[in-house]
Amino acid sequence: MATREAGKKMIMLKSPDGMEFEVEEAVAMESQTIRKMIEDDCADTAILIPNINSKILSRVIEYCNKHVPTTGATGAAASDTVAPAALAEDLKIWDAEFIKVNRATRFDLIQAASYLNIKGLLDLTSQTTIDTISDNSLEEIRSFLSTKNDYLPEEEQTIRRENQWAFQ
Amino acid sequence: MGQLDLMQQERQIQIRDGSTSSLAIRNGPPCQEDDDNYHDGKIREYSGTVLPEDIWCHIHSLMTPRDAARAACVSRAFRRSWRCYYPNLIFNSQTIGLSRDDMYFTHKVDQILEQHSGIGVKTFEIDCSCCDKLKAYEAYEYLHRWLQKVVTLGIEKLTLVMREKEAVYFPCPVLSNGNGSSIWYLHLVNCVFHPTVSLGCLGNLTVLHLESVRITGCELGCLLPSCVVLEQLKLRRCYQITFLKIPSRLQRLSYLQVLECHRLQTIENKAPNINSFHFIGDRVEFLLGESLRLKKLDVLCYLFLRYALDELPSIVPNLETLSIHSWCEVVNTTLTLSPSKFLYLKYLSIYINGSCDCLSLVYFLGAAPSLETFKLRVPIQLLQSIDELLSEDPSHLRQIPGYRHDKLRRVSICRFPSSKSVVELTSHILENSASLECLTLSTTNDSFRCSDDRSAKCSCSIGPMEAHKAALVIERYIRGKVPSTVQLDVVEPCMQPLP
Repeated sequence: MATREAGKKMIMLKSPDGMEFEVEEAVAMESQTIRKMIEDDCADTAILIPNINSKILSRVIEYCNKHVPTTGATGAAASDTVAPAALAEDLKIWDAEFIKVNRATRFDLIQAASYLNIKGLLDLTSQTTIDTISDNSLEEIRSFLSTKNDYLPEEEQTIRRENQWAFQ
Repeated sequence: MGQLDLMQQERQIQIRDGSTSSLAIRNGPPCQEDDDNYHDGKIREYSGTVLPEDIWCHIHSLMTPRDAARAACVSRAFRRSWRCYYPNLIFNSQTIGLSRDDMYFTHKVDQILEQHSGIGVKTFEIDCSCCDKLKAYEAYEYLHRWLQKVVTLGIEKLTLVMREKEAVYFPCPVLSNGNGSSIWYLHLVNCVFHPTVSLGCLGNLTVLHLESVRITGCELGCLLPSCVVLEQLKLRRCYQITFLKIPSRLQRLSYLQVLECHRLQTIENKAPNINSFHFIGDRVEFLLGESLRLKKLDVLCYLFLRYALDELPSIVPNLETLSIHSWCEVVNTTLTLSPSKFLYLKYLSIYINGSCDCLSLVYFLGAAPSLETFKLRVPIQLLQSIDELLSEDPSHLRQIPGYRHDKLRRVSICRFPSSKSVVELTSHILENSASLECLTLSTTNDSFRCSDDRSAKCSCSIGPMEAHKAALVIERYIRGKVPSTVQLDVVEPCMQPLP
């Protein structure tokens, strides 16, 4: 439900498990998907966010709250006094803490970031995933991704030969 | 409302006007590869165990080429992503590696590109400087083949670094037919580049960087007018350019860099919005007619100091930041009163490699009434003059009366005291700058201490005797003149033994 509180427009987000989250419009608009809906005037009542359960949605909102520019709910209005570089450094440290989650939660966050089109969160979760798998063996990567090796033996030989340079 | 629309689409975010999100990357023609069936059309909560293929495609696209090629061996889906959609083809000795086989690098790149669909390439970067035996004609054949594949509508960044002594013809036709119209970044090194009118429009180019490129001023003049959104133009060691003419159509051009183009004689700029200009080279004729917006100028040039004071205030009256590296100043360059002023100059840095009467820099400071920060470095030290200073009566300093610098807050002088005139200048500043907050006198070559720099190696090339004498000069001539409101910071060489 779109309401007004202390002069700030609020937006109601609903998860499929029935939880409701009232967030500032600016925070919700960190999601390009929601921004588009608001701009198209589709946000009169609560917005149902399909696929994203309340646990993940609350984490996504936490991220957007932190990253909303300047006068966000987190009191980041201090940007006038804090140097931008220091602010960016602070955000980086915060991000590193934020993303310390188990694999299942991270995968859920990636999908949520993709669906809601939140570039910063998508980059963060994607890069963390790349860092996790970059030094692993193929078997370890497959196991991490819950992916089966669907190559025929001769196919696998060929692709391994083609890409041998990447293993040296 | 759009809620139902959204519910019907699980992964690809199709927004009502038809635009798609950044993740909808699979919108090119389908690749001729096997296709796994991930789409079951049902709505479900994310499971946390597997990610859909389009998301893996996205993650894959963010990997380095090496990681991405390794991941291609994980499963068919990744192979498809590597061959069909991997967008950042960056090939250099780090990404591909080197081998004793001289042709290893080019063969490898050739093989990778042969497998790639060429679709959706956003970045193509190739650095052949590591290929010691690659001849120009071989490189041209490869380059032609590779560029034909990857330069299609949609490519954004193109970087080609060829070998230093084997400049390679850039195959201009690959950019025609609108193929180059999506490029915003073009960086060529050691190429022969002869654009003609038929090159077509580089209508999205914002950065053009040419380094050791054989291109004439006339050919550049042919290319530039079509680059209507160009923001940065960087030219380095382009020895065929004698006349650089920048047309007024380049309304967005804000940064110009011209380095070591030694045959250049004239720079004529008509672009109205350049605010930063970096120049290294011999003195050329600057026709900077419309340069009222120029705020930042960085010049390394022979005998530039006097020209800067006499001519620049009228050519670039709105400068805020000026850095001058003037080489080979003739014996005791002496500045005189300048007829016009830099009314907005806040930052001035002067490096003089040669001999100069530094007290006459008072006229430079006097021509900059808004100056807040002044940095001076004169690396050649006259040992004789230090001895003289220590034996003379301290009252024997020359003065230039009638100049005040009341906005000046920070002054830093390196290699203090390189000559007696630097001591005179420092005294003058201390006595005539009401707002001065901090004076840094470094007896080394830099204004920071080794411990500040945190580098293991000491860069102070000053002997202990010179440093001791410099410290004595500061005590004798300077310290007594420092008001209580000014912080005097003396940087001395560290105690590490010389390397």
